[in-house]
Amino acid sequence: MNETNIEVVQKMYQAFGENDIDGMLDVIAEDVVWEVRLVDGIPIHGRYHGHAGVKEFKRRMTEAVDVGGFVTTDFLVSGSKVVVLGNEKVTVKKTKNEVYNEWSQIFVIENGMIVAFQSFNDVAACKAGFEV
Amino acid sequence: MSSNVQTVQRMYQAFGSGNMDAFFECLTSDIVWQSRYTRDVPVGGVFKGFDGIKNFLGLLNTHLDMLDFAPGEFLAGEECVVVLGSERVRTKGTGVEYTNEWVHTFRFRDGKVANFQGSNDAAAAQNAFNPA
Repeated sequence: MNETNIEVVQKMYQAFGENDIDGMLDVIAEDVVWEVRLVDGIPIHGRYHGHAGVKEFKRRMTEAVDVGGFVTTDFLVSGSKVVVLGNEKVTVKKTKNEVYNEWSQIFVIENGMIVAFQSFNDVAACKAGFEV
Repeated sequence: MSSNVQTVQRMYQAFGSGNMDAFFECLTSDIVWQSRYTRDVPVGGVFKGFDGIKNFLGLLNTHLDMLDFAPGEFLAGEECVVVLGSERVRTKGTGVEYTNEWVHTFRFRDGKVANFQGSNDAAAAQNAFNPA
């Protein structure tokens, strides 16, 4: 079951990387709560609800940044939770600043579907990158 | 239970009871301690070595009252431990009380914590320290 939960997360990452929204939504529950923890002024910050929310998050992300490198370093599992540690290099389209963001992402998975997502980010680096 | 998880639990316990010798016993002398907030929050930054940690603890004491500290889930990876938890805090300057949901990531060398990263509810902290 735990292996399966990690596979669910990996499917989501792969679809995300290929800009395959339908592929993402295949493993995301319709009533998902999707939360990106940054601060006001950074356009992807906030809490998104349902498939419409995830689409809105993806749209804002595409509009705001180019992701130049996305690396996962650790997968940790406990019950229905999968925690992934990793990093990414993004370029903020508006400012052209490059940001190195080490993140922690927490997934809650039920019946093979992601029901909750939370990402914690390097908020100081992101704030500097967006110049807000 | 992994010995790394036990080390983290010992560290939290020492911290909570103010036994600083026992607390430092859990850390390598070249510890890198990252407390992730926006730059306008005075308890954020990267602190190095025991002197750095003492500086960080001094900042915590100057700026925050810890009302409740609640580590929740412990997840053990091969080289790291992640703890998901929360704390109830009050800013000393502005007197704002808020709940901080956090992620603590510990990396180990020779059974001691060599690297710590605390990710926080940066938006809640920013609002508490800089009320409108």
